[in-house]
Amino acid sequence: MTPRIVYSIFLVMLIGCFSNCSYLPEEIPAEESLLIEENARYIRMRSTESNNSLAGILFYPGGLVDPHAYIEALKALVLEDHRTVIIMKAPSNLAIIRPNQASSISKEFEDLDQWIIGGHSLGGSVACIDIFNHPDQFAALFLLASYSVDDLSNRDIPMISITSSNDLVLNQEAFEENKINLPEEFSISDPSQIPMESTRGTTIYYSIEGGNHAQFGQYGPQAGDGEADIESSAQQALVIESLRLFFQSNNL
Amino acid sequence: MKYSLAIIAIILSGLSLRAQHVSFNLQALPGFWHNEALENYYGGSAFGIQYHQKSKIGQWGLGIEYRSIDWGNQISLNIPYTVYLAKKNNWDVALQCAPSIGLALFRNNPLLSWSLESSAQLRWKPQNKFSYTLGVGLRYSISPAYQQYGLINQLAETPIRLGIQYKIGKTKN
Repeated sequence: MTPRIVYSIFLVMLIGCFSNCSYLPEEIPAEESLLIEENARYIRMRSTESNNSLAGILFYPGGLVDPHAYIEALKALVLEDHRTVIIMKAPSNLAIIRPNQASSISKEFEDLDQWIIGGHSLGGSVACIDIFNHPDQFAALFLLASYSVDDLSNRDIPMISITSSNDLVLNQEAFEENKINLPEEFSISDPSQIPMESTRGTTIYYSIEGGNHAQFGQYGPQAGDGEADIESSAQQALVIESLRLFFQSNNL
Repeated sequence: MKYSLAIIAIILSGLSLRAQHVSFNLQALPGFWHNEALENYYGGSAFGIQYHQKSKIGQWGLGIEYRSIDWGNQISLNIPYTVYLAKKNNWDVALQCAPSIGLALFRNNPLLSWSLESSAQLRWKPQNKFSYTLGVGLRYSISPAYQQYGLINQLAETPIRLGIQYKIGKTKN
């Protein structure tokens, strides 16, 4: 073994390392009524007025995105709807390393009876893996710029898939091909079109006009993404509005 | 970022052929911290390469390590100093202390981090150029700037290390 070989290993290692950089959050909201607790496995958000009769939300972040980047995007569900929201953490910020974490964590909160699972990008696919492995533990599924590679088409729970028109990160071909893994498609062009009755047995598809991939979180521009025509706050408000109506329709 | 890489490359190039050993280490990193309550967790794993150069009472070294940590991924440069406490036939026992400085790997904005590790190591040296180490230690890590983003920006860990050393020169161990 010569120093040249060691240098080669060193360089390969260095290049590998720097391709695993995560995205940092742009800003973290500092709001007194938003209570944030954190440990090695999750970030828990709740408000002083949390209502435990409402379903809690378990959320898997996108790959190589710091989980704190979703606090801003999801805080309305905590502060306005008084839900408990739990954002998963994972080694290297890759949710796929701990694909059953949400189901495991949900068992630790005995004061909440129902859980909704969701995720962004890679995190959405991981949420689908978790729900595939633990079919009875979740009351609903929401996907942000994501798709399921596991067959959930026969699962009798409501599902919603939200995408955005300027997203160049999401593999559109794979997205279309994998629609077969979710229940029957029901497309809408505006959140107000979400039926005011149970949506079990269907998947609501909604594409946000002018939005992009990165603005589902709050971590700035993402490499390879399209340019958004709307502000991230506007995109996130549409996500919250859609989820709120979706949850109400399904009594969650 | 590119300046940090250049500095690492320059320091490593200074060692070149004078290095006695090169070691490859794998570490498991169970840890604990006191946040709102004392908690334990599994912090992931680490992979590192170290050069070692013999001195009068021990070995100096220079290494680079890549690891997963609570705030994501991290790469760091460490300066281990090893003192041998006992040597017997094919075995020896050593204490190693390794301060390190590194970067938490965030795109466009890597954050400075540092750590200090002290570990005990048992080394087995068969009659060839390879030797094998098993070590346990205590490590403290902090990324001060990450405090702006997360509640956890410092932690203590109990690393468990498996290593292979390769002797480059002809000097005795």
